[in-house]
Amino acid sequence: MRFVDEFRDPAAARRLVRTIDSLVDEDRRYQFMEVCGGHTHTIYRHGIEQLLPDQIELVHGPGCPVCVIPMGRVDDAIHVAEHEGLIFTSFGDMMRVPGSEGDNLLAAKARGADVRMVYSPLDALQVALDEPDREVVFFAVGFETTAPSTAVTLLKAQALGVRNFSVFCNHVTIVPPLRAILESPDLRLDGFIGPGHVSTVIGNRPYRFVPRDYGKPLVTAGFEPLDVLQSIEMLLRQLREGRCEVENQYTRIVRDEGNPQALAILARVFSLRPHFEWRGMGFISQSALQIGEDFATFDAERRYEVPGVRVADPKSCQCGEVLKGVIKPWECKVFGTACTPETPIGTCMVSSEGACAAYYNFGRLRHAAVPDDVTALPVA
Amino acid sequence: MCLGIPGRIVEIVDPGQQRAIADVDGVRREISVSLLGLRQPDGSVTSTIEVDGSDAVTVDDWVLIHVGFAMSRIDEDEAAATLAALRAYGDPYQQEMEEYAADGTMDPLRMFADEVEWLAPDGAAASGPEPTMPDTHEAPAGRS
Repeated sequence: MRFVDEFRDPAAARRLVRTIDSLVDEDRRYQFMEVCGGHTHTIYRHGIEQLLPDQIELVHGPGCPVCVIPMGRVDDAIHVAEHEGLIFTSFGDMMRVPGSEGDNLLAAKARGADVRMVYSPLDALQVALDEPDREVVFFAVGFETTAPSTAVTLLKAQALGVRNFSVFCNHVTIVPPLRAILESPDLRLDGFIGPGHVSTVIGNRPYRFVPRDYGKPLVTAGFEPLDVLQSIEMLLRQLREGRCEVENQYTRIVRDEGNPQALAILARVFSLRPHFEWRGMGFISQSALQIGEDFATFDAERRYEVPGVRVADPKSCQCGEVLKGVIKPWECKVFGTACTPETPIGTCMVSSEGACAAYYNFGRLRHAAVPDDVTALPVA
Repeated sequence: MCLGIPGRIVEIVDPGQQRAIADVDGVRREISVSLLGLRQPDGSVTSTIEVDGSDAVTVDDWVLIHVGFAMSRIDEDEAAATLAALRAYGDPYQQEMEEYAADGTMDPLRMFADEVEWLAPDGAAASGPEPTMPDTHEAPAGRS
């Protein structure tokens, strides 16, 4: 169990792997979806799948906010960024996400648009304060983890009376795509490893419909390999004992009620979009946030003409099937050949938390490096 | 961007605006603590939004930081263990730290310098020659 040595507590990891082995029913198969891209990264980085019994398959979910932005929205962002005299600010993760014909913000910058990377939406607001004669737009992406930061930034902009700042809002919410996946006919999941940091904001209660309406257990989990192993053990234990509940493995960070203050300001600043397109998943009702009426002057979509053209994903790209867990990254036709982290066709290859990039960087090596029967190795 | 990184609050710079300085792995920058609230010396809690104060922070507290905002209060042991786990992440952690350490905005062409040679061969991005694209596949066909 060579990779276990990298874990926070190798002995605990060995115990967990043995417990998982003992909980698995040899005659059945288990498919668990890890919703969050951070988990996907951990799973590949630490070779978690190779530690698990063959009966358990991990399916990678849609929880990478960069990966789910559709090409049309990237085109819209580039269109806004190329307005004369405008400063367009964005997280670094979005710079190489391809729009139509492979265009991206990095290429727009190279063509002369004033595109700048920021670490925080507050840094984008600071640019607007520093350069009052220029229009500044912030490209907001992210789940409920990130949206409160944009909300606080807008509250501050409003309080300061800033007039040259606006937000191109692409914040998305985690529950509607989960529901869409549960409604998908081609999936037979046995349970979910729930997202950790999103849950610091929304808590565990919004997931209750998963066991109640769909009969699947969900365990909110942290990002370290031990967290992921323990959440799998908790899912198996529920199945073994005939329970079906929302459980919290990440109690050191996540509270059942989440962060009520953060939820309150989300409600104050944003409203739900009637529908929003997700890359590879199509339009999902009420799955994204838009800037509310009270903050309309900060809404880049009202301030600038945004083409809003829907662009179909490249035919060769199977990001949608990867995001829904229907195929594995390496089963995509262009994986590792036409589509690599250096020259991504699909978003799953762009972000380090995308399933394809994670597998490209780590998974291939692990598959070759790990012996078949890890539990047979000596215990330290 | 998606990582939460643990940092210690070392200074409150502007209690009214909930601005604090956080130290992550020896790197200091300003963060906002408004999602948690600030605990004053007299025990009261202030924030720019309405908070219940149960997670309010002060100097020497450890927090999980995401896009410049303290998201959760954590204890010191948890912070150390999380940091160790993040270091093992490699590149994503390096990138996060580079962005965390940036003072103000970053030039994407510099941040992705090793990947943009094909965009601006002479390094003269804005005024440089027309972008040329790699010919190995159909992916970035670009607008030229």
